Amino acid sequence: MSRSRSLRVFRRAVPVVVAYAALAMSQNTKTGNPSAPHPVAPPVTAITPNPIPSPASRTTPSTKSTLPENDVEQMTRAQFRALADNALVRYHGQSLTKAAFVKQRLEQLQVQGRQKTGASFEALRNQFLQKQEADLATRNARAQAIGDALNSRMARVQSSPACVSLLKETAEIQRKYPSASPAEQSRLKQRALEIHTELLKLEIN
Amino acid sequence: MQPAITNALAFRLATAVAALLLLSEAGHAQGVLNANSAHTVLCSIAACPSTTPVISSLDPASVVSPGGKIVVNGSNFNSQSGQPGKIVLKLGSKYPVTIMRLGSPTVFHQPYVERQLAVLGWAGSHAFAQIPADVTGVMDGTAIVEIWRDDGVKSNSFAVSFTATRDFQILPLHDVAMQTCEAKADANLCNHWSDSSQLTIPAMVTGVGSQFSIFGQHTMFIPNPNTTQVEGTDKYSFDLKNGWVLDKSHDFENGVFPVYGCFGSDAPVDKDYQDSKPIYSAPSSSSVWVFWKAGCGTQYAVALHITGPIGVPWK
Repeated sequence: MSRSRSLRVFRRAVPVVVAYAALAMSQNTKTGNPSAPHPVAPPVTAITPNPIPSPASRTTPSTKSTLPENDVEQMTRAQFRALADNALVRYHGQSLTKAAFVKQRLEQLQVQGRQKTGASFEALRNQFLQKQEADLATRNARAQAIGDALNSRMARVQSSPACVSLLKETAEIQRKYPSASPAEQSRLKQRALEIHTELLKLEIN
Repeated sequence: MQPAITNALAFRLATAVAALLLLSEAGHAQGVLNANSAHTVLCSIAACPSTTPVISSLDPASVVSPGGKIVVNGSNFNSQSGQPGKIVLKLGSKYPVTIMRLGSPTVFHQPYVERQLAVLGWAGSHAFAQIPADVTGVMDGTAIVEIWRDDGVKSNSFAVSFTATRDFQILPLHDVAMQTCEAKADANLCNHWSDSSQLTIPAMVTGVGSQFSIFGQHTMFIPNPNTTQVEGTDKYSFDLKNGWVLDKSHDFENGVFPVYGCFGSDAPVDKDYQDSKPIYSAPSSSSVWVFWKAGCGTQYAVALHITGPIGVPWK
């Protein structure tokens, strides 16, 4: 991702972070089990997931204390993991169980995610389709110019003196042919064929 | 004698009718005679040689796509009637063709489509026409153009290169494979895999709404807004078929939409398309690496924009 893109991402994220921080400070939460795995195992390679509290550790008798040392912000990750799910912890001056705290932590980002929806894809899609249409129109204009030029050329050929002369002779042959003698008809046939060929040549050339 | 009289009478009658017809046609022709109708008249008198329409080329300016205009060059496009004929575009094969790819055969069968073009201009040596805009479900490839003359005589089959109209979509999440999820945070989720039953893929995600290809979340239970506690790289992959590729119109900036728990220790999420090099190539398959950091918790969604022939499946 480019630097400018990263900056855009940063700018976009700032209000989300602010809202998140406000939410995090105000919310109370309930119990959860962070270690329960989903049914599908990942094809993870060279990955060391964090140790998850063992069932044994989760059944450790709770520490009911709400002393300042139970402030989660003062704990290491290892200390926090060692706590039982129903252990009371303090967070931003509020007391809650570890499980409730964990649930709150997991839910907060998803709450943020639901707050906004994007319509950007539809806009991009329309932009894409419009560009495609515009490209087609541009290319079609070139083909249209060729087609128009050919049609104009055909019109010019048909109005050229050579073509007009041949058309006039064709009409003359057509007029004479029915009443012509057999010998004359034979000559007219021959000439009709010649005119046919000449007209074709004019069209092609 | 009776039959002879009858035959002579019939012959005279037929001659008179033929003469009247010719005179009538001559009168008509003299009024509006043009090059096309002249051929009709001339060939009614002389025995014009029978010809076959021949397509020799397609003008390079032709647009062989749905809605595109084409100029066909050749000879003998006019029949003796002088009426324009038809231009027919044939796409695909009447016999199912399985497109083979390395690794696995693709099961999509290119359908056979035969469409008549709208004629915009017609002469003995060229025809100008427009392909219908609603040709869909057809992949890019060789197509056949034919001239069907007014008298029914067909030209040679002329091969052209057809380019389908493109569609623009977001690759659905279930068409993206998760290769690696670096489960270094306290709770982690990468598409359909997670180490926490409490993490789920939300129906709506910031920035992308309900349509996205990749979704990940890495949450720290004990937030640290000042220091990144863990970082990792999640890897995903996709494999598109039948002419579909990753859209490159925005330089692969298909949209990473991150939500940071704490901006200072979580940002930024970044991504890289491993098979998009050189930079302007559009891969049909690639690994997508998402780099993340978590001090508090990071969530990201990626919408992979893909383009391909409209009406053709990408898998």
